[in-house]
Amino acid sequence: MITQIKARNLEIDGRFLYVAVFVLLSATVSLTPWWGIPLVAGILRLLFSVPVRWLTALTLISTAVVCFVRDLQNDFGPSRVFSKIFLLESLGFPVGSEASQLVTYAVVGFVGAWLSMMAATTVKMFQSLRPTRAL
Amino acid sequence: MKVALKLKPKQSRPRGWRASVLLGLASLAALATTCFALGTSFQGLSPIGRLLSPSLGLWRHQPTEISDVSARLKDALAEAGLPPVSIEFDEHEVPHIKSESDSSLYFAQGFVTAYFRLWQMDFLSRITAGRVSEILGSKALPIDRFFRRMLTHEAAKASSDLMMADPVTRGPLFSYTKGVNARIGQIDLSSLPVEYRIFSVLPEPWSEERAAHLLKFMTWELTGYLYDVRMTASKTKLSHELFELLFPLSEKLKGTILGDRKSAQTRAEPRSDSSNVVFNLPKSLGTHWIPDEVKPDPSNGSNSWALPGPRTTTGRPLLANDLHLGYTLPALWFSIQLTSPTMNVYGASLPGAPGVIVGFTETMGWALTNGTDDVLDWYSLRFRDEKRQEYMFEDSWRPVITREEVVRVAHGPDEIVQTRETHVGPIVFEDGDTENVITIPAGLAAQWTGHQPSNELRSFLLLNKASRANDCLAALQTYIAPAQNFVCADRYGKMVYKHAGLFPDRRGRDGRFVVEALRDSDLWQGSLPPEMNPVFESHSETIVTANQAPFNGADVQKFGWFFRPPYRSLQIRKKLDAKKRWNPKEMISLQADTESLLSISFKQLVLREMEASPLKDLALKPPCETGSDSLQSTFTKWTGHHDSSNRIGSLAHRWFEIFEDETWTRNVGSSDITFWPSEWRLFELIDEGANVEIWDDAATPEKETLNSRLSAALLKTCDYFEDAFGRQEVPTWSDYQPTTLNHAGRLPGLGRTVTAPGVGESIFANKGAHGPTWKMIVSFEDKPKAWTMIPGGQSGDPSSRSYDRLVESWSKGEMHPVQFYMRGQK
Repeated sequence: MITQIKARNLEIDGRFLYVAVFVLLSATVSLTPWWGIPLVAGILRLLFSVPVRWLTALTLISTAVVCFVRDLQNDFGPSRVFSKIFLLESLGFPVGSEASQLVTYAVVGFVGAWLSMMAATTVKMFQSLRPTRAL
Repeated sequence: MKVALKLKPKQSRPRGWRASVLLGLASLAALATTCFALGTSFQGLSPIGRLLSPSLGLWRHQPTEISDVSARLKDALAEAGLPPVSIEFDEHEVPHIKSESDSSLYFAQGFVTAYFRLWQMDFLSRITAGRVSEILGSKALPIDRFFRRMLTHEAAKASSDLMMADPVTRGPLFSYTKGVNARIGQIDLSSLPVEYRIFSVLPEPWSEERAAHLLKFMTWELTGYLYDVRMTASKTKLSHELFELLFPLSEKLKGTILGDRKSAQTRAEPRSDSSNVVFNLPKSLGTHWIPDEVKPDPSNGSNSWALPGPRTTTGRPLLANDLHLGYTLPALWFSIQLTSPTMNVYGASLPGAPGVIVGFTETMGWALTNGTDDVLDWYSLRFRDEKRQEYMFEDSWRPVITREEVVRVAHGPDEIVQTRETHVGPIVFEDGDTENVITIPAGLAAQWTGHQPSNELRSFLLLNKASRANDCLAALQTYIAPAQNFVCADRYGKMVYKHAGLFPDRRGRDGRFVVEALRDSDLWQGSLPPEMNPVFESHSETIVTANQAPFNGADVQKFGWFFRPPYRSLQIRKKLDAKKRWNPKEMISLQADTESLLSISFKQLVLREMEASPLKDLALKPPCETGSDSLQSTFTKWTGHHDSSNRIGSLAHRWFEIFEDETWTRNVGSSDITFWPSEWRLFELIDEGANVEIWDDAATPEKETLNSRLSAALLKTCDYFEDAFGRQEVPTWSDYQPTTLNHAGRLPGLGRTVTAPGVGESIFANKGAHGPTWKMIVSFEDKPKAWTMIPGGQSGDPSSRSYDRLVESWSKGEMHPVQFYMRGQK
């Protein structure tokens, strides 16, 4: 799907936007505290009217990817700890297995995505109260 | 920026402003709720959002890697201006540290231990300091209140001063402390141990006093029993005749360590008439006064045995030891080898203290088991009035010294704890305690050998440098607490046993009861002369210790009265006697033995009673109904082993527990409040046969008998299994008794549950959450051969693969061969 975004007199190619938003969200996830995610997602929605589903999906992916990279850098120690804290072994995912690693990335990704979606939806709903501008 | 676009218009019905507002508010509320949940500290833990954050949370955590240690240690030694050391990790990740200087050696030990176990040593040293609430929050306040009132921090301070004044311990302790602090100084966000992040605290500098706290904690774990209080409650409840029947002070004990050999010096004394025993202890009294988390397990003990050269295939002595304590992750002990021109020692070190606590040198080794002596007495004080500022002693009123201490509480307000001290000891329990209301103006004060300024580290550091078994005796001369059985053996064939410690001199007073402290003669009159401590030396006799009484005779009661029944020691003897000569590797299977003599005694009782009604005719329902095989036949086939897949062991264990529980609850009272006769005494009573009153309930018209009591207990056992495990089958032993290694800070998920065999009375004394925490076998050949095992791993970092690497092997009774480097060996 290719979509056009126009905001503040900018028209951005959809593909480029995907990449830009992904990079921005990855940087946010990597460099800011957890509350940076909803903040940036809300700003992206406010300034560029980035669709909520994009933001949600891209936050999930970027969070999971950043977690994976951090995990890789740290000999997969972080995912082992989270597997234990999340009691994944009792759910059939042995600690240290690839499946348990994926589950931990997914869990954290979903938390990020949820924050992003709620922030963007809030902005979107209040945006819709304004007189419609050409988008 | 403009690029050609294909627009895919979205066809949607315009939303009304009301719906938008509602949706906006709903999503805002969901966002706020999520943010609140992620940002709020729950039960003293760091907010989950902070932990999950890939930028600042646990994703930034770098697991401890042995590959990093050497370089970091080199930097730290250079910075401290100390000579370098060589450090090598073997395949089991045990560090072998070698240095030409003892200062560097202990510095390196402190550094390496902190590298792997910093959080554990920090946390454990806070327990007797009464500072756990600083980490765990208000839920830990009962622990802190208790230890503050117990004045353990003052005892640790005094011991620390003593250690720093002693040339044997000052240097090692000073260097070790510097090493720990050098590691703490290197820690950054990525290397901060996981628990600090989770509890949202930072490590504090290490000190000699904190090491003393760790040793006091071990002393408490091995001696801190409230048995006097419970025994007093039992005596209060029972008639004189029944009390004497249930709790005889026997002078002829079975399975003692030395048998009929006595200590070198004996002293005959008249037994006290116990006239000042406090019989009016309040009904609310109970062991719940000590918080469960720090209530010493009655089974804290161990096994050790030394086989003489003539009994081994090598012709040299064999030494075996397993230390029974509560399981934790990280593992309690840290394996290490320390080599310098003055020593070459391998063994279990206690994270936080220099040297090795249990282990061996090039030519000798030593093993420990808890002495299980009575070295803590509780005294009732008579206060002048409700203000409780003065107490009666020697016909005059003496002042109570009261102080207030601030306990800092994580995520909560500080609490002021009042400590109250008398010349008898600290007043630990008294009326006004919110949880334990005592209606009389009285308080319980403690006399405990743990309060003595002591320097046990001196003994261990001297043992680290010992070359012969006889050196043990010199090393243990100043040893005070906790009282332990030391078994030493050397390559020259000598074996030495010493029941070491400081033992109070009660001058004939019965130490089993709480007495009112009114006169000096009520209190300890110093300590027993060291010559009375049992000692035994041999080249040819097997020595077995398993927390049983050290010897036979009246004098043994001066040491204690709640020694463990000799089930384990007799089992070890039985197994050792079954074979003429043993090779070292056979010891591994002996340490993993799961046969219980208690279970065999119960089996024999059951088979005997099954010959008579009502047990003979008892109609059993599932899960106890055993199909074609009758219960009698199943019991007959059972060998008394408690292996993981065994089912009859589960039935027998639960059946005996219910039978014992009902017997003593009916006769004596709840186990929380009263002291019960041992399992050994129960079987003695059954064998004696003439104790009808124990089984019959005078309140009922029926005449209950041993047989009917056993029948009723069996039916209850079946009901229990049906409720807890369903009607299919009696659970396997490992389902009935899962083995759990909890995280030291009780963090969920950071513990581990495994399948492991064994029961409290078998040699592999696994009780589910308690059992062998260090296993060691040493064969004293020209170069010592040894095997060890810990339940856990070398690393204390939950993110490390080494955190619980050995748990599975441990649960199977396996041990790994020790890589021991002789001096000069590469």
